[in-house]
Amino acid sequence: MNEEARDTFEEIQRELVEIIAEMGYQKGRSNKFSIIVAYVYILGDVTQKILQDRTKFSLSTVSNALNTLEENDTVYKKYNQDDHQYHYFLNGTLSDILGRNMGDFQTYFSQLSKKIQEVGEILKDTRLYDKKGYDNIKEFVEKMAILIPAFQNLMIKYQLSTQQHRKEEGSPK
Amino acid sequence: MNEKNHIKQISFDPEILEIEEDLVNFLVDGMIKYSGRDPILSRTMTYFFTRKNLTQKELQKLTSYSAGTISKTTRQLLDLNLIEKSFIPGTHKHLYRMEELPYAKPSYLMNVENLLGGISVKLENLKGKLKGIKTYQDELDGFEKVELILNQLLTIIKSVPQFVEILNTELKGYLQKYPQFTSF
Repeated sequence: MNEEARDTFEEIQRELVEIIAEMGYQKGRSNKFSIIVAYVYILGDVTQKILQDRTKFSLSTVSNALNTLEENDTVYKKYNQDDHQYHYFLNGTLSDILGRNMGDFQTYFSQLSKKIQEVGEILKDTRLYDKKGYDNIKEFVEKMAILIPAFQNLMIKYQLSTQQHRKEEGSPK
Repeated sequence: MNEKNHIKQISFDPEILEIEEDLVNFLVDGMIKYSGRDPILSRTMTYFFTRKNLTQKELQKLTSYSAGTISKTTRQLLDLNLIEKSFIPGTHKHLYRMEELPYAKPSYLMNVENLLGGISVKLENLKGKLKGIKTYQDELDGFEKVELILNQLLTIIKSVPQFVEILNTELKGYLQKYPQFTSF
């Protein structure tokens, strides 16, 4: 084994973790969470122990992050009889995960739309009109009532163009 | 906005506070579940949706987070270009302001300026380094996976600016009809 090549490879892995973590931070994720996600992406098959060793974070930080990733279907776990530990795997490729996120956004906007309508109905109560803060909530609700359908339309359009693009490339949907 | 008016705006009546709390909880849950956003960042950011202008002290009161947590979170919101900071005239206090709802900016979904500002260059550099040790790829555990991730990230990142540009143009056209978004 070429030692120099191995050092370079480890350096590349570390830098890649930093880049993926930075992308997570830019999405509003916490730094620790982003670093854990980055290691799962890069290593593929990880245990809580491996993540603790690599990140030096506490077991509860690692465990909480993995639970969140499991809840949103980014990772799945399998029990390994040999080492008696749970192993965590990435649920699909990076593109798959981003694609799923786009579908999730549609679900999110649909639920948000219902909530905004619900609050809009509550605000119709005339007894609330002169209450302090009423105008602030009303302005937010009115803006969201415009923005949500705008985003929903854009997402439908984006999905259609992606499907069209895939069709042209001849790849499976 | 002077400080007196600003403080007046913060004290919502209980009936409205209840509506706001319910709305904030809903929005924060969604951000955590669907975007994987940090819960503390999400809650702090969401109060700007209804309050627009806030000091760190007011954010502390609204969220019950510590001064240190609020200081760190407002810094992240500034980094993400979601809020702006200014001095309250005649005081040493900072006022944080959200000019426009992040939902009105497609870049909120994919922080494109920051993605463009260096990440793709760093990824290209890593790709170059990886190419330099390709001869040893059979001996390096995980080489192919790293190579795949680098290529996938580069493809995704390169397509983001075009996609955001399309979203920006379309959203701008759509929102022009509404006086609420004249500044957009």
